[in-house]
Amino acid sequence: MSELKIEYISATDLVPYENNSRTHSQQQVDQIKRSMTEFGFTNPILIDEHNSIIAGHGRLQAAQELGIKLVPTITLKGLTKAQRKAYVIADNKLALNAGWDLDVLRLEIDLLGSMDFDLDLLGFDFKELSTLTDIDGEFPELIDGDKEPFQKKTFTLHDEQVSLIDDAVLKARSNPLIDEGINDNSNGNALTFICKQWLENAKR
Amino acid sequence: MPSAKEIQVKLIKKHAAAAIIQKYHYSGKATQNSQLNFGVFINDKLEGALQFGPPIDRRKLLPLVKGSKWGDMIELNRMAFGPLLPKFSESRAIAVCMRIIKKQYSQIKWVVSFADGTQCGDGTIYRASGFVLTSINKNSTIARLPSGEIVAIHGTSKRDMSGAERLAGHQLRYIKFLDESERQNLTVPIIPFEEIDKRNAGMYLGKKKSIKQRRAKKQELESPSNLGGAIPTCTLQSISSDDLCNHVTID
Repeated sequence: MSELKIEYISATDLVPYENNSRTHSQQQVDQIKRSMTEFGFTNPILIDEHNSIIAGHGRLQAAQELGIKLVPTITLKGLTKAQRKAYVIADNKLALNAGWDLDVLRLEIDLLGSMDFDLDLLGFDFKELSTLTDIDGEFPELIDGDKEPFQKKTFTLHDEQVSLIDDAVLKARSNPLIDEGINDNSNGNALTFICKQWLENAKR
Repeated sequence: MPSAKEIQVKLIKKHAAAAIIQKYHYSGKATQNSQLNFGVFINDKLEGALQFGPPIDRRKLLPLVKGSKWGDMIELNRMAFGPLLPKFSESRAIAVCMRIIKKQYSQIKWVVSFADGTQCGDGTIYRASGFVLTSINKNSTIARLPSGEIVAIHGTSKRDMSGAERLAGHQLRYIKFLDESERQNLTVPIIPFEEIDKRNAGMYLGKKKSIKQRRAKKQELESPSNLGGAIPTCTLQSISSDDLCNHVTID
């Protein structure tokens, strides 16, 4: 892969790709313009050997509206027709696939706000920013009084263990000594009876 | 420096509280099962958090207050405060949380919390917030793994605990009554705070230090010969152990 080189080219020499599927609203172009004014032209336009734009149509439009004559470009050489076509889409789509760590984002935005930085320059609209950074909680419903005195327990058993336990529970269920006073689940009562006996035996 | 009266405390989302806990709590770990997450703000900036939720061993804790039902108590699991929060923010934040919980969840009659006297402190903030001390136990549940990671040992843990070494120090259990009438139902004696020194369980900001030593230091710093300039103070978790000797305690 050849080393990338940034070249400044006259904005009027660049050729927009006729099949560019990415759209740029005027609102977004205005955001890019504000960003360029604040931070400069930091992200070069990607072009092919014929000055045809692969990525950066929005940046070019913003630059032209700002009256910028020379724009930074990087020429991607040697792409096949298919690669070129695909990369026009992939460059945009791959960036869209990234996510946000909302906690870090909120802390960073808080910090920028406390530095009196213009948050409009971040590219979020106000509503979007409020939603992303909203941390207000809602009171959950908490248990009032006693919880149900019954629980379900789950174990992972091998088939052989299952049949052993099934046999034991089945036999224990018919034992007249089983206490059914607090639970009407016969399997639960049988299992408790077995465990109780085991504990008593272990004490001896 | 703003005063603690200027802080705002409100319910926040769990992930936001967890981020603050991870950032400022000495353990670096938020609790997974917190139900009520409070944020502590100064000038609209989130700088502290308190997490309340069900204790892991609620069944064992309920008998501490006779007649307690399942939903009568909650645990203050974690709290952490950043350096921008003013002095005494901790006790003020706890007081506000207690008021909110009492108003919103009238069924919650008491709050339990544990001070970690192996790595953090013996509960200065709890004592300042009207909690009563109900046990001082030698640590049996906090351990260091061979990797250096500090973990809590409990029955439900699936971690490989081989080679784990229990940390030296104590764990202190505190209870705060939201319904004062429940105090008479406490089934264990209230332990006088002096007992902390007697049992050599004193710890402040991660260092073994008795309450008596802290009081003496405070008096020394407040003596007329030492007045004449602002004395830097820090909140509980915002101080590095190297800085300890240069700061005033609030006990």
